[in-house]
Amino acid sequence: MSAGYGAADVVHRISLDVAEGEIAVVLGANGAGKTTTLRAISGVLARSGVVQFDGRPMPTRPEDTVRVGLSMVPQGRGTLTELTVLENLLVGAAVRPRHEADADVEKWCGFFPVLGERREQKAGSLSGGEQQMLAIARALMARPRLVLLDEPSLGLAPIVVQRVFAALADINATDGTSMLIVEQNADLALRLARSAHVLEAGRLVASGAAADFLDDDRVRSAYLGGR
Amino acid sequence: MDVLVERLVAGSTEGAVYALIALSLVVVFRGTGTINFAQGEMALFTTFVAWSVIARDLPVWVALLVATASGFVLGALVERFLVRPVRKRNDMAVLIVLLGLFTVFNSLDGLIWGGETKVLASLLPNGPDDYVALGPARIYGDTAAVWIGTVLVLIALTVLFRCTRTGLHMRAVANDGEAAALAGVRVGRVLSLSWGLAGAIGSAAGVLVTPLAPAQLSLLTMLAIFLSAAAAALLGGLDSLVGAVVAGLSIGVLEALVIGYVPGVGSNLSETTVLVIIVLVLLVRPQGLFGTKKLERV
Repeated sequence: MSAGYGAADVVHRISLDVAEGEIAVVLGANGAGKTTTLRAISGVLARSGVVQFDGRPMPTRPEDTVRVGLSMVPQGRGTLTELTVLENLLVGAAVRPRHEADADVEKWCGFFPVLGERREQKAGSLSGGEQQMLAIARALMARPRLVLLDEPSLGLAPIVVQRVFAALADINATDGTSMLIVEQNADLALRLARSAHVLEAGRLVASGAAADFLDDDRVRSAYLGGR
Repeated sequence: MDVLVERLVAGSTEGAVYALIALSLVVVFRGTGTINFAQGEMALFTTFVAWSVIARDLPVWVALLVATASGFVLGALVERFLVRPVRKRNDMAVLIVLLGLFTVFNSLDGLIWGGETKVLASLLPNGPDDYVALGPARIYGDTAAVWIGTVLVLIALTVLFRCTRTGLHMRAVANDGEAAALAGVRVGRVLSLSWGLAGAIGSAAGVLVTPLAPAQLSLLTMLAIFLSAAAAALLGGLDSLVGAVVAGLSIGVLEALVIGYVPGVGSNLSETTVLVIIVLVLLVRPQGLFGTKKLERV
């Protein structure tokens, strides 16, 4: 798949797989094309090449990709700041029958109790971590089989990042939801993921098991800036 | 005292007219973030359509329905085929397109219906004796129709935005179109619907208002009304339904009071005086009286 803005491709002929039920992570420096990759898959950006989901071509518009089972949590949360927590969740259920939405609201308010306590509060008044949890819960309201997460740790305090990642691991384990996560926080992401891919200047330069990346000092220093 | 009551009634009627048009501007603004400069002229066009319906000896309420329906279709078509393609490239260009539409519709009116002033029948009985006395003031049918229309539209829109899924999706798109699309909201459909709804409200307003307008049904009917309505939408905060109504009524009453009580300035500069007051208010509250102040924590 290739994708970019206007005539210039930012991502060049990359190829990667996410297996059913797995968490995959895409690593890379700023400007490597990580966000572009996710936005192209979800249909926010135009793309060329092949993207398949369950053996079928992935639709090319976000309204449609969510209907085949893909949700995205965009960078910078992507919550609807003027709407309440409850309304955000209900918008997340746009593709689902009305009567199922209420039960799922309860489910995610139970999973993230802080959302349950603030359901009548405007999303814009929540803290960064709470907004991230809301964005994740909203994406899950569509009952996706694959969730794309764009830098879920961005701008959050380390302790909050831990909490968000623990929640993701929990969701993946209980519901079997597949995830493709773009991250700068390589250590944390590699611990969570099963497979990993590294982007450099818009090209895919390495793919493999996440554990290997964690152990391999050469890979770490070459692609992830070492430590 | 009699003058005061009479001025208040006249002012709030005029204000209700501004409020109705301002409501349609707010509905579009919430969806697309643009002020539809052609709203008044689109409403005038469908009001001429209503006149043609009445000229075929059909009742006024049928004309109102026809005008409202054609306003809906017109609004949705303008969004789909003019605003949407242009907006993808440049938000500023949308304003130019809408200003262009403003002149197109006005010229079209002249071409089809001619330049001479027409009289549009009122929806409610409007004869010399068809009034309710409110103290020293008399409420005639045309006045009552405008008042009732404004209240009904405000209620309907509030229910739509607060209590329905479609309304929720409209608010989601207004807040962040991309996030709404990612959640599966069909943004294009929502925008067409918003513009259609605004067109319908504007058209209904046109039919209700024209019997009251000083210019009756002519090519100039909507110009002054639209300017004050746009000012009302701005003063109310552009994205607030209640704000549009409160601001519309305030502007109407203020104009009426200036006309009634300020000799010299009143008759000629009532609109200017009010606009100056609005500018002063916006200096203190840039987001308008009821507009949402963008709040965000990072």
